[in-house]
Amino acid sequence: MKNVRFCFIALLLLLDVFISVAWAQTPRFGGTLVTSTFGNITSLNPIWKYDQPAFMISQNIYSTLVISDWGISEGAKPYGDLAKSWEISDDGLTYTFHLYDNVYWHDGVKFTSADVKFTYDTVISKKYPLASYLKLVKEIRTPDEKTVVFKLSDINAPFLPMLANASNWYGQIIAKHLYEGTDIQTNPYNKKPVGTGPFKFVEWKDGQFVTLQVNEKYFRERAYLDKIIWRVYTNKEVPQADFTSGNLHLLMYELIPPFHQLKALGARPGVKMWEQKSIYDRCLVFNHKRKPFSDIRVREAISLAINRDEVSQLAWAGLWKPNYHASCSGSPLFTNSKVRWPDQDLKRAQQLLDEAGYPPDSDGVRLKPVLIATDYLKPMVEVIIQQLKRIGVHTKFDLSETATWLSRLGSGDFDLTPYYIRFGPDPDSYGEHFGTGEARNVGKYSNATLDELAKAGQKTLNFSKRKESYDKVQEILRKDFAYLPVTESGYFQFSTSKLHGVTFGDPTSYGKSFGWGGYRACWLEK
Amino acid sequence: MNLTRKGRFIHELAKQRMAMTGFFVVCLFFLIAVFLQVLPVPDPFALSLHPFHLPSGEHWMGTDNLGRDLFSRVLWGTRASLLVGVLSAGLSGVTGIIIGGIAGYYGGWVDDLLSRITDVFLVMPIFFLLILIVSLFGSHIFFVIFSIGLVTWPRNARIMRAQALALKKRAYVTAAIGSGASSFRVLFLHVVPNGVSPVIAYTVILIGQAVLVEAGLSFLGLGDPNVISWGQLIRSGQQSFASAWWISFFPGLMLLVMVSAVNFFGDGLSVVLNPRMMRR
Amino acid sequence: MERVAYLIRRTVEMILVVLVVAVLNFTLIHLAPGDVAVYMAGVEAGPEYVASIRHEYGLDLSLYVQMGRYMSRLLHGDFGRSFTRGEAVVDVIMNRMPATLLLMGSSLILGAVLGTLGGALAARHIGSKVDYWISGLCVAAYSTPVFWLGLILIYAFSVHLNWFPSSGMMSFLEEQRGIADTLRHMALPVLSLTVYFIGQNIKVARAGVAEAMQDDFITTFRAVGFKEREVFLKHGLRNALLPIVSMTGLQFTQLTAGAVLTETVFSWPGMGQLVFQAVLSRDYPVIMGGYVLMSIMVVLFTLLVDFIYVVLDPRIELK
Repeated sequence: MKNVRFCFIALLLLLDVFISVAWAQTPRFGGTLVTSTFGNITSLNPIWKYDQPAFMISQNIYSTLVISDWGISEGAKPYGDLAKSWEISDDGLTYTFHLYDNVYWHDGVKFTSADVKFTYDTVISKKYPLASYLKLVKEIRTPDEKTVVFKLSDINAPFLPMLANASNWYGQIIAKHLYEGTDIQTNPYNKKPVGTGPFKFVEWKDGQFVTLQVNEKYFRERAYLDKIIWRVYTNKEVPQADFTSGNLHLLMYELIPPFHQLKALGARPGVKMWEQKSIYDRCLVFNHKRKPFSDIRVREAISLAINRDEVSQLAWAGLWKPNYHASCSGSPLFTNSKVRWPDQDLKRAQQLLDEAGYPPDSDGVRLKPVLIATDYLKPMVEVIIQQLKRIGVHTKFDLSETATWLSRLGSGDFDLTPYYIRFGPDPDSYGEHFGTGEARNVGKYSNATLDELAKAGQKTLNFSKRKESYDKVQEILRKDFAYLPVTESGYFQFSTSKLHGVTFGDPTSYGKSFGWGGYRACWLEK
Repeated sequence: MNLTRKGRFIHELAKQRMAMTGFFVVCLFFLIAVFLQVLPVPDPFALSLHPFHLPSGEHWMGTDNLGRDLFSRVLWGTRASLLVGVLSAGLSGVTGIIIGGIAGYYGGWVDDLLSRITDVFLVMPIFFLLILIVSLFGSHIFFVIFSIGLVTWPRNARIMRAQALALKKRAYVTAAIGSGASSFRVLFLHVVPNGVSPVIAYTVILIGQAVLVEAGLSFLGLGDPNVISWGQLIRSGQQSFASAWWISFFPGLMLLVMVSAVNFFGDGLSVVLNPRMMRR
Repeated sequence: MERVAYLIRRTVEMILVVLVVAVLNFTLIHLAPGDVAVYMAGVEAGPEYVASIRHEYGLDLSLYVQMGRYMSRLLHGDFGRSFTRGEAVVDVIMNRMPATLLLMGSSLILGAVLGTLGGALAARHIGSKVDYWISGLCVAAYSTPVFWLGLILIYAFSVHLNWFPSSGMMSFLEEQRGIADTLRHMALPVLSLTVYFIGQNIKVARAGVAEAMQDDFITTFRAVGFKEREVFLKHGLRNALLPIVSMTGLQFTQLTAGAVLTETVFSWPGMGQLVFQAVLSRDYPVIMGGYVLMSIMVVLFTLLVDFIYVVLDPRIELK
């Protein structure tokens, strides 16, 4: 009798353990997530201006037409949010989107294609940020409530991937019935947003926090979490303290401790460290419009002077690996692995500077270029500045806040700047960053052959033809020493180990979170 | 007459223990700043692969986020602080003396105009103004010095003006005017030298304030990045304060020590130069 | 009557001063290098968007036209619209003002009260070791960088001891909010600021009390038979009031530094932090609005202090 009872209890215990383990992996509905954002939020209407601290919050309140998040390993493919499916005509000029039918705004009004048309028409007419990705859109038609048709004036391969990517920041669909006929920027709904997303707006205490609660009437299965609270932080010490004391569940990527302390934080009990590959690299951009960097020999010399391993170890604690290619490992599809920047060669670097007419003076100083940067990439800049001293280049470091930096970039008032090239989601980014006169070509580099190749890459939807063009582009960039790739980058976030489905790093969230900051796939264990 | 006054002044000052301690500490900082390059301290810019090290025998104050020796960086910070403190206070003092002297001495509409201008600066939120100037126009250290000097002169001007008002009725001033000296000469050769003592005392205290203001600006990220300054060091250690407290702690401690020293000395000066003020 | 005339004259002077402040700041902001439109458009935007922003906010007009428009609106109480938020500047600032007033007000009052008590204590035992140490600590108190102190307090009392929250003004959980919650959040930032103010106030109070105690009629009081403590409290302490009021007025004018630094360290949602962020993001209307409103506050406070002086001290000579 005792034996039977013992076996029975053992079996029960075993069953209990089995159920707990299985249970732990099944998403649980409920719970309040306390997460963080860095900087003051100024608007919860994302389409008229880019608000960095707010963009992740907006992604949960609103929906977009198409979207892409980080996680798809082949380079962030677009998938549909409000669009159930779409077709592209054979001539590449017509994009037909079929929308979901059972979508409602948070105030109960039914969502239709008219909202999409209204949003995009407004963006285009008012030249809001998303408009730069809609330049080729001739016309937007809505044959019925569930269909939106975009007519382009020319074939453009990057159109859909770029639209999906940019929608993360400012491509959310806003309500026609709340915004039509009003001034978008002063509309009171900017402070109490109404969207179609998986979470509804509850409150926004300026400078303190934003609270959202789950949308039970979401057109897909409801999100797991009941509530999300974003705590606003303006310095970096406090959120880390809050996180370690358990008052914060998620430490977002802008608030993490310095790189050298990340492993220690991740090793703490109850803490999970998330890593996400990025399509941005970390590089150095030359100002091609003036001396000394208008001279290719000087550019090559700088390229030979830096030691990427040192930068990676000292500035990024080895967490961001050296990068020798005109691409990055987050975008493997279009990378031309044959194109490689040279290793460090200080002698050759100094030789080149002599040839270019920059011999050392009595103190050993050859050049005194001006480098402009913001706080963001300061560790890397400080290491590079020390490295350049080895070849007699003494850099003057002009640290400023973003506004001044952008301004000086625009007016060309600099010699060097650290930058982050976005190698994706579509390789048209080569054109964006190196095409003559393009907005992101901050070094004002210009090469006619590259311009032609970039154009050819846009005008076909055929993968192998495009790859050919972009392979050649990368060869040109290396031959010209157009810029200097230094390291890769990536994102790190920390959360309580009870949190699953984080967009940065958890594969279970790919294709389900509807944006880089979407929390729909997130769930908390008890 | 001057000699005995000076002698008496030094004697009175030496009696103030705290003030003299302050003076010697400030002198020590001066010496460090001047002879920094010959002192046997590690290179403050040398990066190493040992970041975030606790204070130890090798690194007396530990290392920072890029493995640089904190002790030497803190010593180098002395330069920026003293430079900003002394130069901006000096600029403020000189400007205040000139404007206050002219206002008090000439009186009339000149005084009204200058007093209104002084009022404007006294009412303006100074720190906001500094943030605005430095972030809009540039953070080069001489610009910071210039800005701080230019917004802190009002109180000095007030003091000088009060002195000028009182002194212009004195006998030797009327005598100088009577003997045909130009008002300019009278003002700057007789009135100012005799009334300048409280301004000097206040200017010394202003040194401490200027150092704190510069530290505040650097802490907010608005300082000169090419110069090592204590506020900047505190800022860089902020993110890792919970685990590497020394990076922010020691620079702040230095600030406290230096500004206290300057203030002790300034207080002593005030007491000696202003016999009407409270006696111990 | 003479006093009323004096106060009216001061008020008129101060209004003019505020207007001059507005004009000066406007000029300063618009002389700055760099293009606010480029910043507002953001990193990813194209040149057409930048141009449209420039036109929409009237940034392509001449400085005089812009200033004229701004000043005329200002005189009607219209501070314009925030570039970054789209809301009216007055609303944005008024939203944040109570937080700053709460922080600053508490620190100033606490500093004044504790400073007076501390100063009286020091004056009571003047010349003794206690006095010596108090004076020394006072100097250290107002020589301490307030942001450094704030970091240390967070580290000690929040991270390690977990007695107080580390940032913000209220709990993010609705159920926990209330007066007690806000007080808990105020504790550390107010402490950082008060230390600075107490240092200055103790010195001033001590000087005032000590000076009063040396007056001739003190000996008379003692001779007549008043108790030492009564004499001290009635006469000595009262003499400390005017210098304290004056010092507090001075501290009020210095409060922008404390506001910006403390609010940034503690993520306190106040005006200081708002204006600082506005400077970084080139939100001109908010910067201007912040300046002018702060100047008005300082002016009001200065007038108040003047008024108190006029009322409290009959010996004051009105210029």
